[in-house]
Amino acid sequence: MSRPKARFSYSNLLDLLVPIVSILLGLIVGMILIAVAGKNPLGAYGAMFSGAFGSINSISEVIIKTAILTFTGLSVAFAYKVGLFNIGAEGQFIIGAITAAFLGHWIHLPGILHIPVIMVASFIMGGLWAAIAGWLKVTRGVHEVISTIMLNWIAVYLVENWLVTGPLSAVKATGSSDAGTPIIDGSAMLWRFIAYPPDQAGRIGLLVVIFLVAAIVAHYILNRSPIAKATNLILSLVVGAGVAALSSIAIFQWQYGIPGDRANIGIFFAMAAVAITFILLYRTVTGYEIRATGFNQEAARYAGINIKQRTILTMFIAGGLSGLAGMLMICGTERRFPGVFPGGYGFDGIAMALIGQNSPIGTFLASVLFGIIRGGATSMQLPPYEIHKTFADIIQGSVVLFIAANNIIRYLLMFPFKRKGEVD
Amino acid sequence: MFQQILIAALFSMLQFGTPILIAGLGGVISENSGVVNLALEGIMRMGGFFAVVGAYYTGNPWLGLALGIGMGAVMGLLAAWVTVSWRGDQVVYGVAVNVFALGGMTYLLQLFFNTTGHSPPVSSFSSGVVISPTFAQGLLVFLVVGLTYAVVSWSMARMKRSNAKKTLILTAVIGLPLGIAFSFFAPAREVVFGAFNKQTIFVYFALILPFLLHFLLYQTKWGLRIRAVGENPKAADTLGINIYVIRYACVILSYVFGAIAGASMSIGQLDIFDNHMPAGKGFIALAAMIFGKWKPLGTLAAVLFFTLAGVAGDLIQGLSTTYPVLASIPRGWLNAFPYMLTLLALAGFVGRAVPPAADGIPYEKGEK
Repeated sequence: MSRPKARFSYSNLLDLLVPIVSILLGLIVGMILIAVAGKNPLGAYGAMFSGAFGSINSISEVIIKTAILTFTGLSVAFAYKVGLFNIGAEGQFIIGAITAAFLGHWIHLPGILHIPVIMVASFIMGGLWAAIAGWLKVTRGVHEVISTIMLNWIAVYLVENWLVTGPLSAVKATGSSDAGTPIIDGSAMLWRFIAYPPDQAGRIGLLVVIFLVAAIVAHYILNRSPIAKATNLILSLVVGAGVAALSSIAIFQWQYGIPGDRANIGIFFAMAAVAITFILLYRTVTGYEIRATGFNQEAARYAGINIKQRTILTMFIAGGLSGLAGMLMICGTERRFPGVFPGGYGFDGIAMALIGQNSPIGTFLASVLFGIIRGGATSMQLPPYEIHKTFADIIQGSVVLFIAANNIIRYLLMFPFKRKGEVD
Repeated sequence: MFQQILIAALFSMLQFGTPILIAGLGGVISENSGVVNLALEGIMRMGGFFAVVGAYYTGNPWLGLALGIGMGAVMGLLAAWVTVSWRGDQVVYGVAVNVFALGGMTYLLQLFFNTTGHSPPVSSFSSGVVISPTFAQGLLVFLVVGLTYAVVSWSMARMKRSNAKKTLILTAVIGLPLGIAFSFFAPAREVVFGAFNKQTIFVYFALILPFLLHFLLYQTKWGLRIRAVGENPKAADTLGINIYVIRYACVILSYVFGAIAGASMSIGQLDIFDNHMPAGKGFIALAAMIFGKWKPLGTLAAVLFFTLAGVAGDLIQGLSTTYPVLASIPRGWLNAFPYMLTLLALAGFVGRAVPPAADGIPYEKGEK
């Protein structure tokens, strides 16, 4: 397939530079704040980044956070493609989480079925929760920012102040005094990098899936560049084999994993989700229609695209992605809906999508970066820095602030070229 | 017994509703000029924190409030610069401020007070204003007249007969006698006295503000300009209105109200800054603003309604000994109720809510 070669221009480069410069400026704002407190900013950042990779345990936390952030980020980015701003990722995340916690304990299935069933259910429940906003948008003209904010709080209160403390509480279910819902079945737990359950066939199957996903993604990405088909095939197989080989190290060392290490195969799901959303958006008719609708609704309508149906579908998929993030948190990390829910991933997902410029791969890269920052921020809490881990929010907030102010950054970056007028 | 419960409920309604109302009105002023303010939650947090810092170092709550307001004004200026002058995405900016405030205030709390829980007690307004029965009587008249005014102007707008003079005359004819009659009705006087005694100054501010804003928006030329800019900036520009001046003023005012709302929680209701503040009140304020159809008096009504749902939990707990069936309503449902109602309102089941036409759209001079 031949495509017109992307014309290189400084303006194209700017699209890439803006998020990078925003990240750098955000990091600098953080450094200034640390310096104002009379502490050594470089030392603190050093502690943060080395802390993120300092022990198996902290790497494990980075992996967990990256996986969940990727899902909520993809959720926001996906909705953005149809022109909707999904502030409701948090609510969909909570709905997905409670669905997983419920199905994990109250239905009993063999291991091979339990997790897929929970995944589908969390996807559907999160999707339906978001589809309410999509439906309100197309039938009633309700702005999705407002409706999803409302849906967020409804989800928070109904789940945390009613379901988790009432009908689904561990106290009611098992009579234990633990806060939150009861522990889910073993069959519903995502495999951690310590062996659970010891299942060789499953691991090999997983390796095959990883291989296929990596190869397909590589194939599609390479397909965009002007190389021969045969080379493309060989290269994608090599990439797939490489990724599978790398992950096999993790997969077959699971049984030697260190206790306390909570990282799980969710990260592979997240990578697969990046690939799937990428393909869905850029390589299918549905994806094309979704993007066309987001780009110019009137033109899309004129071209015969069913705008209403595409909008609701997009919100459904976006909500489903957030729902899966919730499922990852329950089945992978927490193994119950805890009494004090470690929320906020939905709101962070907004930042991930914005920083990743609403592209699946950009969102993933942003999630990796902030997975590292959030995972490492706990290390700054120790002396001599004693900076609370919510410092990550400062960095994240300022980066998004600079993204919002992207016109200023573009203007400054254009300055050396002294072009007059519009900077687009 | 029943009067006691009523007084307690009204007292906590006023406490609970004050920050929401002030912040909601901040949203009203900004969005009427066409700038979405999603940052209310974050700005309440900042305002609340800096009010405590100011009060801590000066020992004077008024100076604390001044610092909070100053902080709000500076943040508002920044917001206006980015979103109005540089046409930054208003929603994204709001999200950024909320996230930044979350981490930033925790960081500053640790820096200033060496804790991540709550600040030490500072001098504050929390002891409240002790009022006399005569004052309560006057207050009752004010409340009845204010309520009458709201109802009259609402129904006149409903009949498409909005007229400032007629509204005032009707209010005076109906409200004043009614208010004076009520003020000689002892139980009503006692309830008002009980509900308002030892409330903070913020409560009075919040009660007067909607009427002030209503007057500003609908009875002055500046209000007309603000609404024109929010509905059709191009037409307003053609008529020689400076869009940027109006929007800057409204955004800064909006952030100042947000900061006052935050201060009303930290140095108003309490005398500390708690790291959980404002615990979603900024978003309730947003909901109230929408439920109130972007109008000051509408927002007042919405907040009254939301606070009723908010204190319903306490009320139900108080009444559940007498009526056991009430105890079976889960708290989560009561918490979620205002939001469900807002969603229904938005969907048009409970009166349609339509934002100002140019709300959220950056304006660029000379754009086609």
